[in-house]
Amino acid sequence: MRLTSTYFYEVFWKRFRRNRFAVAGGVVVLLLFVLSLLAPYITPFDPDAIDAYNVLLPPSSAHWFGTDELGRDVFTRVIFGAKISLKVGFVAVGIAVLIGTVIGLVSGFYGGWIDDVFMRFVDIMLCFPTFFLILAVIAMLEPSIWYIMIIIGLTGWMGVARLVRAEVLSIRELDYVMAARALGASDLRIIFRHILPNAMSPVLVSATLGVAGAILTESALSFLGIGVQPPTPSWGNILTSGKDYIEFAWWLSLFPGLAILVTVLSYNLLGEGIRDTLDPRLGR
Amino acid sequence: MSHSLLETKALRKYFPAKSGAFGKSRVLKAVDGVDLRLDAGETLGLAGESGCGKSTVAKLIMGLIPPSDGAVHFRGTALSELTKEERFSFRKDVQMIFQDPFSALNPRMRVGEIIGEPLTIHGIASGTERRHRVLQLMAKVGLSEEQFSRYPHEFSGGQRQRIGIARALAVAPRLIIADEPVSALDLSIQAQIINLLQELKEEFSLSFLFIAHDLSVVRHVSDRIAIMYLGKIVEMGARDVVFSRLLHPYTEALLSAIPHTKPETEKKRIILRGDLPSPLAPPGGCPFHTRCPYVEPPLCTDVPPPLEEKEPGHLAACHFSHKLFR
Repeated sequence: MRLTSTYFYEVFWKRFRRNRFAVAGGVVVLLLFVLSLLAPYITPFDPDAIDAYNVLLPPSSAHWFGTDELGRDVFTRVIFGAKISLKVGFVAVGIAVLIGTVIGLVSGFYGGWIDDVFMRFVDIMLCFPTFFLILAVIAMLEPSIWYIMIIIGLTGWMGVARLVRAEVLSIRELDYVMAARALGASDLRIIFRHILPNAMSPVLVSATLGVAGAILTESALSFLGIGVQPPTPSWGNILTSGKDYIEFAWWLSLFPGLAILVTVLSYNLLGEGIRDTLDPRLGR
Repeated sequence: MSHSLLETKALRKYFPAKSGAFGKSRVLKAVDGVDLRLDAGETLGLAGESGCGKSTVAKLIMGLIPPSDGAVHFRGTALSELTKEERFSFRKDVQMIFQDPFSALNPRMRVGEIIGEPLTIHGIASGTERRHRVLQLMAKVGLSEEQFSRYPHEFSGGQRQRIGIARALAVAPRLIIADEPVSALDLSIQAQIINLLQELKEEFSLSFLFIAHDLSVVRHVSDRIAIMYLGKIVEMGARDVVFSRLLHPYTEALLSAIPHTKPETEKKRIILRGDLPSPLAPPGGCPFHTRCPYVEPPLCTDVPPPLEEKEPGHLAACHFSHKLFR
C-alpha cells in the first residue's frame, strides 16, 4: 500500500465509512446545512407572511407541513428555524471549545496551583444545574439570540476543559515533548506545535455532541418563551404555539419536534461515529 | 586544568511519594549519590536493571528535572549556574535519543519538520537552507530523500530511531545521551542502529552516555562502564578491566545473564532471587545484600559499602570484592 501524507484522513474516512449510522448522521447534518443556507430558495413562502384565509391548514401539496394559527407555512418556518438552531449550536460550542481548550491546556501544562485553581473552578461551575443557571441569567437579560449563544457557551466549556487537561497530562510526559524541551523549545512552541494538535481528537467528538446539546437547550429556552422571540422562527417557539392547538392541528407540533429529534440524533450519531473511528488510535 | 566534558557530583534525585490521602509521605530515592565522569570522545555505558534510576540520571544530566542534591557539571560549569542564554546554548551541546521510537516522534509532524525543528529553534537555518540541511542529515542516518514529507507512523521502529538520531544531530551536539536506544528494536535492527551510532561518533567526534540494561550491548559500544543498582553506582571502570576482573557480585550476576555463543560450554548461571527492592524502602547496609549470593551478616546488612577505588581506575562498592574476585 502506498502511504501518502493525507494518510490520517484516508484511514479515518475508510473506518468511518463502515459505520452506517454515523454516515447517515453525517449526511443529515450536511443536508441541514444546505437546507438552512438555501432556505429562501427552497420555499416560495415568507416565514413571517401572515395569511388570514389559510390558518391551520393540514399538510397538503402546497403546504407540506400545513400552516399555523396565523396562516404561515410551517415547512418554511421549520427550515428557517434550522438556520437559527445551527447558528446557536455552532457559536455556543465554538465559545465553549475555545474557553475549555485554553483552560485545559494551561491547567494541564503548568499544573501546580494554576491547575488546582482552574479545576476547582470547573468543579464549582459543574455544581450548578446548567439549565436553571441559564434560565436565571436569561431572565435578567432581555431575550436575544446572542445572549443565548454566549450563555450556553459560557456554561458548557467545563467538559472540554477536563478532556483537554487529561490529554495534555498524558501527552506532556511523552518522549517527543521531552525531546522538544531538550532542544530548548519555548513553552508556546511545545503547547501549540506538539501538544495541542495531538489533544484535539477528543475535543472534536465532544464538540459534535455539544452541538446537539446546545440545539436542545436553545429549543427548550425558546419553548419556554425566553429564547428566540417570535416572530423569528425557531423549533422551540413553533412548538410552543403548536401546543395550544395540539388537539386539532397535530402538524404544528409534530414537524418542529421531529426536526429537533432528527437533528440531535444525527449530531449524536456523527459524534459517536467519530469517537469510535478515532479509538483505537489512528496510525497504530 | 582541563575539565571533563561532563561530570556529576553526588547527584541525588528524591521523589516525594505519598501513600493515600493520609498516608505518611515517603521519599523515593531514584538516584542516590551518583558520581560520573565523561571525557570528550568517550562512550560511557551505564547499565543496570529496570527501575534502578538510569533514566532519571539521563533526565538530570539533560537538565529536564532539577536534582534534589548534587550537581551536573558540563565543561566545568554546574547546570544550575548557567544563565538563560548559556542554558539555551547547552541545549545545542547535549542531545538525547529515546528508548521508545513510537513516542519519541510527534505523530502530527512530517519527518522534515521533526528534523528541521531544532534548526528553527536555534536559528541555525531556514527556508531552502533548512531543507537542504535536513536532507543532508537524513542521508547521514540512512533515510532517503522522498521520505522528507512522510509521517512517523509510516516508518518501522528502526527507521523511526534513525529519525530521532537525525533530530539529535541537527544541532551538532558534543554529547548525546542515548537512553536505551536499541532495547525496543529487533536484534538485527539493534546492530544496524549501534553501528550507525558508532559511525556518527567517529564522524562528528561525539561523546556518548549510553544507557542500557543489556550488558552485551553496553560492552560492545562503551569505553568505560558504570553499573547501577538502586540509585547507586556499584562498579565502574574501563570496559576491559570491568569485564575481565569484575569486583561486584551484582555485575557478576548481570554478566552471567548474557547468552553465550557457545552453549555447549558449561557456564555458571547466577540467578538472582527476588525482585529489585522498592526504592521507597531500600535495604539498610549494602543495598544489594537482600539478593547477594555471598551476603555475610552483619557487615553487609548493616554497613553500606563505599564506592572505592579497588585498583587504579576501577571502582566498586563491595565489602568483600577483594576476597570474592581474585
